[in-house]
Amino acid sequence: MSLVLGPLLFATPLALIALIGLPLLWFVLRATPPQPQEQVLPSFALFEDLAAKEETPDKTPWWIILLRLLIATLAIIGLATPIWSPPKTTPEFASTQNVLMVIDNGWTSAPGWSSARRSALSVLDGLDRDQAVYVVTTTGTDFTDDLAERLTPQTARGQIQALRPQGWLPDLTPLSEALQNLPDGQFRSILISDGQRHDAFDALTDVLRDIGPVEVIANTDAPQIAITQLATTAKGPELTLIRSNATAAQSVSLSAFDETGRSLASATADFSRGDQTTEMVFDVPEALQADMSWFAVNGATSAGGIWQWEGADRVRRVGLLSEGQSMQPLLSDTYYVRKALAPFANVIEGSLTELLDDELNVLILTDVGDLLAEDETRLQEWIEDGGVLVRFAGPRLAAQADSLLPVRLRRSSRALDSALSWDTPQALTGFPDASPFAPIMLDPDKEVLIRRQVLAQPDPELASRTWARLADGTPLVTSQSFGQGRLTLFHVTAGPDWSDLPLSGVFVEMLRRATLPSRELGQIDVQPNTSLAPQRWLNGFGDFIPPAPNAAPIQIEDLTTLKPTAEHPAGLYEGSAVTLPLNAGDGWQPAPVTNWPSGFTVRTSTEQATRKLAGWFLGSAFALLLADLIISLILAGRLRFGKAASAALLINALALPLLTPPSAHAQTEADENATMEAALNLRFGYLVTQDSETNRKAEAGLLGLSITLYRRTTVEPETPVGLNLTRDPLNLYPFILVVMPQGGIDLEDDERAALAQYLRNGGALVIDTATGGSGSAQMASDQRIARFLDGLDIPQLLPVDDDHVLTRSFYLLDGFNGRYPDRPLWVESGKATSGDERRGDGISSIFITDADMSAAWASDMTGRPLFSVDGGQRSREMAYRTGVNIVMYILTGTYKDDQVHLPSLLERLGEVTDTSDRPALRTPEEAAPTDITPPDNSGRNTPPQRGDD
Amino acid sequence: MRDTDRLRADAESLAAQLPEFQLLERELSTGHYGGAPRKRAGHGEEFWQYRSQTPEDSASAIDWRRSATGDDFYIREQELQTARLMEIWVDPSEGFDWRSDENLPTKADEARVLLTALALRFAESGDLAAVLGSSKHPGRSSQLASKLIEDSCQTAASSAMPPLRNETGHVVIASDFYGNPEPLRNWVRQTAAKGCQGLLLQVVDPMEADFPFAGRVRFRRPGGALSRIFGRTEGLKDDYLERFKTRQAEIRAIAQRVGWSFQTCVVGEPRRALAHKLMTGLIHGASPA
Repeated sequence: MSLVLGPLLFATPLALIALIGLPLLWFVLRATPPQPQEQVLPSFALFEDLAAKEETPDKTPWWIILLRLLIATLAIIGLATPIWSPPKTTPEFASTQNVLMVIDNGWTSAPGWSSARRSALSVLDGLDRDQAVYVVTTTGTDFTDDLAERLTPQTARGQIQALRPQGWLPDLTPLSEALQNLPDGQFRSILISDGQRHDAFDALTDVLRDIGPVEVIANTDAPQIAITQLATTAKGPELTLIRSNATAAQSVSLSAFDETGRSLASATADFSRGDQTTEMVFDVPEALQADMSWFAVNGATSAGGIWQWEGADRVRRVGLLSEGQSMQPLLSDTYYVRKALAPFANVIEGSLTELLDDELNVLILTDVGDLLAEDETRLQEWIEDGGVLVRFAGPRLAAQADSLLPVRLRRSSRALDSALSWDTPQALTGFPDASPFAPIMLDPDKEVLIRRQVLAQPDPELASRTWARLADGTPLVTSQSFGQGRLTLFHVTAGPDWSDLPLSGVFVEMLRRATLPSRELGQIDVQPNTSLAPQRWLNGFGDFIPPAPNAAPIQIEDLTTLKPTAEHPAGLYEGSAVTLPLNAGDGWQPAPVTNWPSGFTVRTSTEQATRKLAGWFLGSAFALLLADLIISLILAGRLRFGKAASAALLINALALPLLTPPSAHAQTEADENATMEAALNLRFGYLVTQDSETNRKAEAGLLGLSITLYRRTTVEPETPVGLNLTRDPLNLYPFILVVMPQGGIDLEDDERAALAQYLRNGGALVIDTATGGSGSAQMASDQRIARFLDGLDIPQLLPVDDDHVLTRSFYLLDGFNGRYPDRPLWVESGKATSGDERRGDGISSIFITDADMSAAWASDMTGRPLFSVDGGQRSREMAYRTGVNIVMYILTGTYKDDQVHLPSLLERLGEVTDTSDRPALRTPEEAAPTDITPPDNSGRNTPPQRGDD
Repeated sequence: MRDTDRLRADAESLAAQLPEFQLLERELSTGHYGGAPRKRAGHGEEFWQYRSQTPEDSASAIDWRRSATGDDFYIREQELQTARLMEIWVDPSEGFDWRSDENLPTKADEARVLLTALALRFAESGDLAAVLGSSKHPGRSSQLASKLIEDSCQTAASSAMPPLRNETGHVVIASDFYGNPEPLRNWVRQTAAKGCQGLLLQVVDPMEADFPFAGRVRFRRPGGALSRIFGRTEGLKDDYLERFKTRQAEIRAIAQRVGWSFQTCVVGEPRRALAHKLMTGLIHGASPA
């Protein structure tokens, strides 16, 4: 029993009775005040005695009660299952009428199946609960059960929901016949059609019109696309596609799958405007083609969009022996064979050994008389393993034959049209019935004449091995299966010397069949009434399903003419020697129903939609309930916006999609701060690597160096910073220290780009591989550096020599020390880069060392060293000096490369005695570094200077 | 369990930020023998000065070794060393050991930190500090901070204030003073009569000072069974604040009557400024009302 209120229809109207309870709810809600907030407060002692001036009213505010009543109302209406169905589309059914539903469920209905099912269900929504419904499908063959069972709308609903499109097209004849024996009663018919005119369509409409009023729900907005044909070309499989709706240009994508359902390739087919069909070729390598098992139109969701490809249509790989055949290429036998094979096979030419190594299906030998014994053995094994050998006769074969022949040959050939012969050339008249050539039609007007041939010795089995005969009965083509393979002999040459055969179209067909794999020619060798058992089926949606247990096998004779039917749905059928597919879309032509018979009410499925509203009502009730919860919390004082983080959390949760993630915001803010910090003060940066130990070392090293610089020079850096190449503004840092971790550093592309940009803009990289001495370590470090610098456009590098500015940019140095003493330091060779200097004055931007300087520099905040150093405190001091020099060099460039120190140097070398001009050249600042006493306790009171020793 | 180490660290770092602190001006005469040098001649162990003999000095007072170097007689004087005892007391009632927010210390902890810091600074100049009512010997050892904190945590929760030690010169009382003020008044009067200087520190929670409530609230005292629902607490606020101020004025009057000082502290305020105020309060007593 359902209740109709205007456009609303209630499926369970009894629930509405609960609305009577609403006034009661009003009183209950009024009487229950909200729960107070609990608060512990020591200073309550101060006002324990205070009389409450304004007691809370004992009732909830009226608008809250209203809100809650609204919630209750919505929930009750929602439970009453309201259905929106505008009256104009609801068919009017008298409750006495029986309803007959005819549902199209061939594979052409699959694309629009969901809307078809929705239409059917919405028709049921409008029925009375105990009205009789009969549901039949068009793909059925036996309707006695369906018509005997009188369903209620509820049970019919379950049945319709269980329906699936089937993997064949409906034949409406049995249905039309069955409908003539309907049970008694008044009937009204609903035909849910996929818009296609199936077989015996008119018969069905006639029957339906006789039964009673007919309403048609035509599902036309889901066009079908099907693959109707597959042809093998040398390029690859060519698919023909057809579509039911040709109004607009359309491109569909297709995929090819292998046996396990793995996608191998995809391609696009384009329908131009107004065209119903189109072709496309899967241009893929042969090796892939060999694995292709089925094709699918992506998104077609119907069995017609699936094409199974099995067996005979496969592209074959044919080997052609081509030794010593190149004298007159256009007259050679192989030329004709190659031409004839081209449409359907890939021809590979080569020597016999090469060909046998290459995994071939078919091998063709033209006029090869005698094979080497060794080759013959190999060839024999190959045939027994399933190879197909096709041989052509010729003068050499006629003279000297080997054993690899289907029949024994006479030692001479027969010439039919020669000066010494009375015979006229013989024509090819036909093929024996058992021959695979049998389906080839000969054109009577164009006789194929054979002028010369090799003859077979008479033999009891000769007849059964003969595939083609001449008019006088002599065999032209003989064949014998051999192990799993096959041996076929054309008794003429492959060229036109002996016959017209190579010039005729028949030759191509004969070759095509002769090169079929042996097992696919099984129908000739096995009994003609072999049956093929279904291996898998396609359902209407194009999914593979296991065949029904009682599925009937197909007789092999029927297979070529068979279309998918209810008995044999589309799928794959397998016999003892043959596997052949039955494709749903094979040869399908769309036939839309353009005009329905008069008296039929036709609607499209989109008009029909009724909408169930229960979800909306219940959902909004729930949403209001949430709102009520929040309001209650606020009223009770539990949720204060000034303070409570929970409120903010709740609002965040509600508005989450609208807000940008706060963390990202914070991130940029932090970044800006870091940028500001870096810009305001001189800082050194180090590259943050995956290895935290290395990072700590680099940071501590830079810190130690910074402290040293601060104490000894006017360079006063702030604490060092770890740098992320992509995030941080690199240009603010004068150099970046890269300490190579053990496993090297792998830069991402964007990091590499940022680093390259930094170097182009005048940055400097100090790379410390920290490996020290031994030779093998040196090699390893080289590889890590190469990996790191790859793509960074690094010029030629040289070890620093004694004259380089680095040796005197602050301290005078003899060598460069780190944790390992006196290691080479590699820099750009300034001369080479003078043409395209990146930094001014040809200053190197790359410093590579393996001395583990960062470890020698490393110190904690108080300046206490963290690592031990070879050679103790003095070595550490030298490492600091090396670092100071590098920093000075980076910051000041070749400033010290001029003559500033020349006088003092010359003086030390003892070459200049007159030192009167020295003070004029040395400013006090410059003089300071070389004069200061190193703060170490090595007992040495002058800085190391060249020439001291 | 209370994190006494944390409290001690807080108190020590607060004490380190406070200036030197000597309660010299008024109480010298009641001093006891102790270790704090008073920068004048008197009883003590350290040499202070030689002065010429006056007729009042007995011959035995003459420092003969010094006098032998010249013609005059010299008297050797020592520097005066005294010790004062400061006692602190933190209200042990349940309501005082309470906080409105997990991020704040309880009122009692705040008081402990402040008073301990004060006592540490006090003891640093040679004086002694102890917890009122504790049986332990007052000290100025390096363990003083933890001793004070531990003792103040173990103060028995009784309604009566414990009696003062005889030698006590200063007493600092921290409470929220929500209880009946009459016993306090009596105790203060008796204590002040012994010549003791004092400071009353009221520590309150921000929630108690602001009364940030609205809507229906059921109030309860910590440890108390009595509870009461107030309907519109936003209307209650004025009454509450008035009572709160009245109580403050009452306590202030108690302190001022005997020349003691009174300070209030809301938990979460900067401690250093407050500790300064407490120091000046202790030194100068009540500002004239």
